[in-house]
Amino acid sequence: MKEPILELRNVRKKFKDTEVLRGIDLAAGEGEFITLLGSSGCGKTTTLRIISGLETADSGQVILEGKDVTDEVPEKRNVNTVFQNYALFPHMNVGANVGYGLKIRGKKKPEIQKAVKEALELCKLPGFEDRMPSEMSGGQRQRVAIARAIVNRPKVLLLDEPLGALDLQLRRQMQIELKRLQKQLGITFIYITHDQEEALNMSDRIAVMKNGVFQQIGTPSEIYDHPKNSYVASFVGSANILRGTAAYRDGALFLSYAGGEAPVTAEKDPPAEGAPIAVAVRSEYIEFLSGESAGIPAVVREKSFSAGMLRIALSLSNGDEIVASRHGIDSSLSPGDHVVFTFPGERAVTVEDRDEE
Amino acid sequence: MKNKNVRLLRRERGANAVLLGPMYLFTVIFLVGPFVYMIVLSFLSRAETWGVVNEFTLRNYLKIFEPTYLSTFWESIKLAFLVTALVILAGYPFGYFMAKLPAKWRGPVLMLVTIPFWTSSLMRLYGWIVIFRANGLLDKFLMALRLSGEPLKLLYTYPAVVVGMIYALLPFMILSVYSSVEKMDWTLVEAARDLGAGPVKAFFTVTLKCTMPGLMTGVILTFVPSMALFFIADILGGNKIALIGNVIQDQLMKVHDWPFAAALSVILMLMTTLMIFLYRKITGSKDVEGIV
Amino acid sequence: MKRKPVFSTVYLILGLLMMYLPIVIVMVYSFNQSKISSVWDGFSLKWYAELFKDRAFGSALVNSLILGGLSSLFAAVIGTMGAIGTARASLRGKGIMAYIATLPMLTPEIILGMIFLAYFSLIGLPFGMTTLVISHTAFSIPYVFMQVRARLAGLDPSFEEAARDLGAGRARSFFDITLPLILPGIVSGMLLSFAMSMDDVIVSVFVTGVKVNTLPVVIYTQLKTGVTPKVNALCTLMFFATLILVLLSALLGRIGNTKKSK
Repeated sequence: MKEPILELRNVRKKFKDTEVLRGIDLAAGEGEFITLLGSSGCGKTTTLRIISGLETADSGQVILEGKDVTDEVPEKRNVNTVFQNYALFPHMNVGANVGYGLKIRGKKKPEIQKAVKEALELCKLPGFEDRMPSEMSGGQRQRVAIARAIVNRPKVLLLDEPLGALDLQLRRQMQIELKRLQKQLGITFIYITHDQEEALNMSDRIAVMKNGVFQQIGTPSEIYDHPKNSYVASFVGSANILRGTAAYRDGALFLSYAGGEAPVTAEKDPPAEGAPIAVAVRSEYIEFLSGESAGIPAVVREKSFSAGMLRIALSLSNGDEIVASRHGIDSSLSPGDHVVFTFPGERAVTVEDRDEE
Repeated sequence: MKNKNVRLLRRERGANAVLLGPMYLFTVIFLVGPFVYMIVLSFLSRAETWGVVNEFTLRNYLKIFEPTYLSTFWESIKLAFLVTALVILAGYPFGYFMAKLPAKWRGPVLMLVTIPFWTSSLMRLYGWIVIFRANGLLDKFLMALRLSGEPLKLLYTYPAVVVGMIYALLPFMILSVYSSVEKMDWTLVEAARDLGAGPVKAFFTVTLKCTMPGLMTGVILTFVPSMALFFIADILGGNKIALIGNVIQDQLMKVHDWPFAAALSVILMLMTTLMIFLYRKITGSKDVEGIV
Repeated sequence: MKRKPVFSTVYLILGLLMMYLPIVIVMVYSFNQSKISSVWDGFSLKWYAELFKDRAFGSALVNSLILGGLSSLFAAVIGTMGAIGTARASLRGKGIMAYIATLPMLTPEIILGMIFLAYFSLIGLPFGMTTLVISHTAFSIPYVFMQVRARLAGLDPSFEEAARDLGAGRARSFFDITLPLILPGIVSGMLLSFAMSMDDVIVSVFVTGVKVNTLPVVIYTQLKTGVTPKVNALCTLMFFATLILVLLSALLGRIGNTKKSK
């Protein structure tokens, strides 16, 4: 990677007695799209606010374009934010909203007007200058918020769940547009979401966050296919986490689990015989076996249909519950059926069963 | 290096603290000062002719127990209870119905209630004089309808004072109840109905509880003031009805016994404080719901 | 399930009629030819004419206007700054200070009158316009304070954060964003203060002294001694003046209010 445009070094933050950030390190390259992914309360918004200067780190450094800005006030930082609720100034029209940053910088009126016009066109809102924010739809306000930020040509654009308030269809469309905009402008995006699909679709790299630490930073395929630990595996790919012990059959690694066995692949060093291991298996790789074949026994508990997939919930003898899925809506299985399942060994990888601390 | 930002934050907070300056200054000099002086004054002795002697005494508080003043207190409290009860009876439904109006009517009706509230209380009082006066509008009206054979001569009677009080204090109750009812989460009532409560039971178990803060604000703004609205008792009651407010005014302006007036005021303030305290205890809220 | 709320509508209408009855009566009688207010003697504007000729009323009006203007202005400055400070500064005792500052709203006016009378005598402040302005400012501050505080509470902090983020400094973002958004609250509080001041009798009676008279004090004296229909005319005029203030205040309240009602 080239010289990073934005760097966080061991950033820590406490609110009252709660440690919200416990040593965050991140380096974002120029024009990179980085997503902070995590459930609410994991510290992603605080991270963003520390980058923008709206919050200050207790310790650690924020480095922007090679300059330490840890102690800089927000108005002196060359970053802009698209707020979660857009925060459009309700008493200013769209033109004044978008032009606000330029006006502050003392730009001349014609210059501002031209830049505002371009920014609005870029965001597909040409000619909306005289509208008031209250007269616009959620999607339009969203675009104004983006235009207001990018018109200043910041080095880094921070987006705090910008699509959270939009409906699914609009969200998909905006994902594509945001990605296009980012490519076109070449600005580094730091993007917050709790939606793994959104993260996987848009990002160059994803930082999965939990309890104020990054669990894993990597490209979407790294995160998806090689989750570092059980949290990443279950959060990003909604994988089943099977916790059992390692067993070797003819030199091949098996998972001994819930009264059965299935082949698995060791992600790192092979575990010792009998050692506890955790294995991540995505629901679509669960295969049902016929007859008395060797596998893991289970009882079908429930069938449900969502997003084009049939989800089959299975109860295991040890009380665990896992989910298998199939395309289509039909399956010969019905609740109460006893089944035996397995999965391809190369699709079941061992993961660390503890969070990054 | 690391501390610079902390300092910046503190500086921003510091700048905000400067904003409090004028309010602190004004409050300390012109409110804390007077209130404290009122308390001090209530323990001082009265000079023979005019003014105050700096001698500690409990006389002013003991004087309240003299039969004349005790009965005034008793009369005032009775009137306050009566007025408050009537204000609740008339004002609660009004505020409640108002909040249940369709949104487009709520604003205008709210305006209509607020306008008399902000307009001259004297003018409204004067209107009542014209109505209540012997051979005034009310008498003429009743006699024209043959409901009454002779003038009722209601002016300078107890009922006239009660009506005047209700009239002056009703808007406070209406507005407090309104703001409470408007904020209510009606799904709670629906839930109560769903769970089998009848409309009356649902009202008493849910609606009344939820709107208690507003009702209590209304009571705070009605009960003690009704003991103090001396000019209503004065103008509509003639000199026949004396409230604590009248006694305070007389002591101040005619008898010039300021320490006694101060003691009476301290008692009234204690009552108000007690009610606010109760309000906070019961509703758990720190603010008395605004009437503004 | 949906019934026509006949009872509540009738109740509201009757209630409002009762509220306006005395006001309307005073207005009607201000146009009465007769000097006796219970006799209707035909329409006339003569009481208005007499009112305008009366010097005492004129000076009282000027006094009331000056008093209302000054006290609402001071209340606006002190109340607004106080509300912002209370919301944003961390200073010990700000809660109790805010409580004391709003106490006049909950204090019976006669007590306010008495404590100001006693206190001003104590510190030797001569009674007159100064004492009037101070006492009216005192009971006006709560109205501005509460209005502005409500505005601030309803104000999304991310507006100001967005301004900072876009490069505006502390002061700039306050004047560009926060101030315009709370301005309707300030002005509406100020107008209400003005209306309160123009209407106040009790506190004024105590602190007015002998030289300065305000309109309500003049009216009160007249009501106690003997009324000329001039007072009707005056009350009617004051009613419309207040009406305009209250309407303006409400209008302002609506304009800046970005919160949508549920």
